[in-house]
Amino acid sequence: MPIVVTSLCFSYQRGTPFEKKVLHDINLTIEDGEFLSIIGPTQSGKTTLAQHFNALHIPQKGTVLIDGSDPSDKNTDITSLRYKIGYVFQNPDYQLFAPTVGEDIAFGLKNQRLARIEIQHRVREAMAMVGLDYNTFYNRDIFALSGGQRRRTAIAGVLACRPKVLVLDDITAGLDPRGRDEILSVVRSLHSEQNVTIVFISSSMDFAAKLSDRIVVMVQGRIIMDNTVRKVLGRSGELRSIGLELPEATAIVHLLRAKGYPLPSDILSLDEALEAIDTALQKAGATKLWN
Amino acid sequence: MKTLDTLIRVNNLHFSYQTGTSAAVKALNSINMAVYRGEMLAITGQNGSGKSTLARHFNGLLTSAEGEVIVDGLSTADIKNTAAIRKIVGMVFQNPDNQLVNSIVEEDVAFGPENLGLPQDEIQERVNWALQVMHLENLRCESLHRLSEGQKKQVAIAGVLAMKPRCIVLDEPTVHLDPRGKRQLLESIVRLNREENITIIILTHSMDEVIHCDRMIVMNMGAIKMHGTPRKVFQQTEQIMLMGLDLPVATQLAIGLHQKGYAISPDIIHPEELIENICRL
Repeated sequence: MPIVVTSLCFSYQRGTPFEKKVLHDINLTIEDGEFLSIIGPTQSGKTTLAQHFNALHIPQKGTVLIDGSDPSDKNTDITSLRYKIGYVFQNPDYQLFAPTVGEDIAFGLKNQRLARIEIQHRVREAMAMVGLDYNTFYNRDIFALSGGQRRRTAIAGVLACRPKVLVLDDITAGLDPRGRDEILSVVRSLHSEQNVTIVFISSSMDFAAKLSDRIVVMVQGRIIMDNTVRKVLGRSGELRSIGLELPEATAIVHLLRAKGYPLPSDILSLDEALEAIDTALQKAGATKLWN
Repeated sequence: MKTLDTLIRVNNLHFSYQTGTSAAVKALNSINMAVYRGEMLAITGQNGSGKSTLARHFNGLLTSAEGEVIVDGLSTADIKNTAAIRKIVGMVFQNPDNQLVNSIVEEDVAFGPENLGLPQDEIQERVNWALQVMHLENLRCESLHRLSEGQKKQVAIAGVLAMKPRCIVLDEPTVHLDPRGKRQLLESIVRLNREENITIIILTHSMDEVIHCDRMIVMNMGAIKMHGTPRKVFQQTEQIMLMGLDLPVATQLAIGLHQKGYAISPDIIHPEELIENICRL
């Protein structure tokens, strides 16, 4: 289920005096089973680009091929494309509207006119995948959910349609640290166990660095980097100049590098940072009080 | 701490939503605390721990039959005090769209002082001052809808500032901002505290914000579970994890290096401190 974007351009309010170009000549291929992050500051065009992946936007110029089909082609069945590419919005309130958790998750399935028993089965399955206990939450009022539970319900509603690709638009915003860690571990297991292709959109490098294989960096509607996480993190100066920041542990390692410590520039996590600093300190002959 | 002069005092405060119904939810349970003049205080805790409910008592948006909140000597329970209390404690909501009322930056900032019935030149002076403090002078005639989320947040704060409050409460000020927006906003907030001597209360999950505060309070299930300087509180690592919060990254690295046997103090909270400590080894 690859997604191939070629020479894509897009403007809002096209053909009016207020026309605003938001995507300029985007070329990008997303392969099956990838965990790809799209990172950029506010208004870099990342959401607009991602909304082309499930035909929420139809290309104005250039092409987007989703598993070989072209949403611009009148004969393409766009509805079934949207079931294959699930999109989780930045704000779960944009996509939750049924009164209870169970009804909300079943909504897309009912629209596909699936048999009642199949719907039941898939709702159960989706709730298990996101860690919502069926008996506790099936009849729970949407308004009685916490922020993290709302996110999980939104993701479950998308997963129930068994998408091959999941586009996640800034899903950690507004969650507390525990809720954020829970939702990220759900995403990680969807990728590693269910083999769902993940497109993770964020303005922060922190989680992208820990989770993804590849990072695409966007600024002002253009892709300026498309590489492995380590390669991207190595270009810290450029990232900072466009308003992005390194993950904090990586940033600390960079500050130590500037002080002359021989440390790698592509540290991904706190544990890696700790090991690298330990090694560098030992090389520098720093004394330990104990071992 | 700069001073221990109390601005807000909370005594044995209890609060429930939907009292008297079967859906009654106890949101605050026997809260006792103080906010000191000139300090920067962080209130942290998971979603639903009662942070916002507590903060809404600081300027009388919520009042409770059980317990009391005294702001600069005035009880919030007496509605005759409400107007005076709201002049003392300003509130910046999570979503700036909930408090921006005009379409042009300077008009929006002028809205509060206009409603105080101040003379024209006083309004003008306050707007100029608020825009200058928030570094918004070059956006004063801009349309609000053309601003980024971060800039809108700055305008919302300027609007509150123009009321000349002694204290500003900010509910999750940096959520939904990108990294640059976050950094700039945090710098403005610290500046308000240090240079304009405004008491700041930040409700947040972000440890990047907490480490700039003089004191922090950790809430859980409607009660205060931990309080003290961030340096002290972050030493109780297990308790912090239990509360569902993060430790600052510099603290985690300092603890890790300390455990490996290096002479690095585990009570580091700022990246710069960590770097200095490592360089001294």
